[in-house]
Amino acid sequence: MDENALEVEALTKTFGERTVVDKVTFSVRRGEVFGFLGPNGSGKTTTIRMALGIIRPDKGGVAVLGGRPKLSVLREVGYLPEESGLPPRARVFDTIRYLARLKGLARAEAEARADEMLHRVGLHEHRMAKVGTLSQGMKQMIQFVVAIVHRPKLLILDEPFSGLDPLNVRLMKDILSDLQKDGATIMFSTHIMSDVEEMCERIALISDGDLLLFGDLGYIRRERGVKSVQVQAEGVPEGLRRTHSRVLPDGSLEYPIDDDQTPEQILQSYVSADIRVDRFERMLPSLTDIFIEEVSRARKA
Amino acid sequence: MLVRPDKLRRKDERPSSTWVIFAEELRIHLRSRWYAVFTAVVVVILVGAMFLVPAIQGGEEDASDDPGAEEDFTWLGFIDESGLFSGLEWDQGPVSYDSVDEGLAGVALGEIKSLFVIPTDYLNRGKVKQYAQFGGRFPTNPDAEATFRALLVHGLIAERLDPEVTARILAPAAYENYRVQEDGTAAELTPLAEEIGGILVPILFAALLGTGLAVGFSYMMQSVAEEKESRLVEVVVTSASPLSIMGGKLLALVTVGLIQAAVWVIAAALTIPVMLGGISGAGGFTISSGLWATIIMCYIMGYLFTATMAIFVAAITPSVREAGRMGGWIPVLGFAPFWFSGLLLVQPDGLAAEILSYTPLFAPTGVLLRVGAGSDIAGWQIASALFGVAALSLLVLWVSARVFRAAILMRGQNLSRRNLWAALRDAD
Repeated sequence: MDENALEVEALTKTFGERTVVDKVTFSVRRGEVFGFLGPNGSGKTTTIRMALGIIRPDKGGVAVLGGRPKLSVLREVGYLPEESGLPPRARVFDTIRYLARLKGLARAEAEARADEMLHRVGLHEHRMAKVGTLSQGMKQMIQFVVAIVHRPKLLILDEPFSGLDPLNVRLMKDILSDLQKDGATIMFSTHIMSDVEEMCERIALISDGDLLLFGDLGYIRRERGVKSVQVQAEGVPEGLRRTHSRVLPDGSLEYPIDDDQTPEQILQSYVSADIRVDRFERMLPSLTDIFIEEVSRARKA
Repeated sequence: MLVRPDKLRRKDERPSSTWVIFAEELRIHLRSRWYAVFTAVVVVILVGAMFLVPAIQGGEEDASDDPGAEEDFTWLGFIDESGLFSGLEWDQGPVSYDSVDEGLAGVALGEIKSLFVIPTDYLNRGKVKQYAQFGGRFPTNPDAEATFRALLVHGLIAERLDPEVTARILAPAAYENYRVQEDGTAAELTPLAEEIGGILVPILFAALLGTGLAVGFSYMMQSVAEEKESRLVEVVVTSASPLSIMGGKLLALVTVGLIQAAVWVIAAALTIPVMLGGISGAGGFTISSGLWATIIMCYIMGYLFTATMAIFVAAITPSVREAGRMGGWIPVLGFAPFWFSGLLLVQPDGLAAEILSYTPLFAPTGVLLRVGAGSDIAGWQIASALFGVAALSLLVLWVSARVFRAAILMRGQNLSRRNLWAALRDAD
């Protein structure tokens, strides 16, 4: 069995004279949760659409679950589009059943799964309500149910947490975690970096159609090195008083790291001053820092 | 060959995408309030006409019938000062009054609708005074004048001429018509009672078809365009091929259209004989099996073509609004042959008739109108005209399916030649 659930290679798409996706290459391993990042208009949705065969790439190739993205393969894929697109006049239960049946489920099975999933997301009492009468968050959860009702092997979610309150975000993450435990591969795009740091082992970052980063999140952070150290201590050494530092909410200090000031030098200052140190932590750059740095550099270039 | 039970069950349980889309679309359309309203409106009109037409027709018959002894004319009153009309007095004849005051009281009390006073110099001047209720310039019972005129003719001649001559004066000719053919021979025209099914029925069904297509088109187009405008379509295209999506929708739209048409046809079949029963010589008509076959095929092809065009417009346009703008002309196609009905009735096999019945855009209603106009169009010609409709529909469906996926990208954009060309170029 192919170890990758999704592979895109040199994927390129041009609209008019604008290249919105330019030779993007990355892969999503089976069973992992993968973060697909990029600023607005960076080409994330177009890449996802090409991966799912919704639109055809001008160049490049896609492999989904080891094969071409044809319908028999895509029936094993769940997809949550960026915007809610459920028909407002249709009933919740009918809509889920219809789309589950299109994914190949028999009627009875589709109905049983729809009921089960509506219970799971706490919307069973709204099963006969018209979609248009639901709140934005409820619609998003229904769309999420549509994406997972057929228990897909690969789940692609475009901004899944947008419009959800913290409780529903937690609920969706729990369900995603359960799906991953059951062997599903999950790829999602988001602007919320903390979600990616919490859930993903690997990421891809694109901006203006170019792939900027791809790989293991921990490695990417470590590769950039220590950007600062946080020190919680009973005092501040005399030699560091004039140094530029930031006081954190818990009272600890954060010192930036550069060529003139290494973590070892900072620690040595505390030891020399005989100040008790309760916590000394080398801080890797946050994903937000990396995102801003990479996108800014790419745009300047 | 034996098939493993688990494989068999898996195969049987997996539904066809076209079937799932068809069933879902059918369910949605049949439960639509607008669909029910549009269907019911025509039925209500037909039922209303069933009561109205005989009532109107019945009034006209009173005025034109031979004022024989069995008719009831007691709703009219008269004063004969000329002494010429003693023959008008019989049991069911008009009421004779001695004075104008008595007659006016009769009108006022509603005993009679009109009072006619025949003066002494009637023969010389022909003047007759009428006293009646008037709405503005017009009597409230317009049949009274014609009916009394017939009574006067009857009164003037009944006792002076032979009864047979009297009968002929009152009903001088019952025409038997013969059509002179190209070879100079004459062929008797079928009596109205037998032919009315072949004339009126196709025209009526053509009108119903034109109405159904005009009403149905916008509805069909909107249902497809709405789904495409939403992101739901992105989920659907990852589950079914564009041809399955288009095919399922097409089958559902044609089915709901034909169900609607069937309701109308049944309502028409039940009400039209009652309507025509009031027309002298037209009751008891029959519709031949050939005509029924033509009607049914024209309906199927009409709805097939209209639904295909609705799907095509929805497929290539980015929004419901753009679809409405681009497809606004299509509903008139079903009615277009009616604009040329004058030409069709005079020359049912002329050039205009040929064009209207062989051009797929107009053929379903064009063929029905032509048949109603008395054309000699043969069965194979009707079949070939409708085959053209089917062929064009399938071609349009195929193009729609090809551009559907590419046109998803046009969501939210205005329809332009450039966008349209991009969608066509990027077609599957």
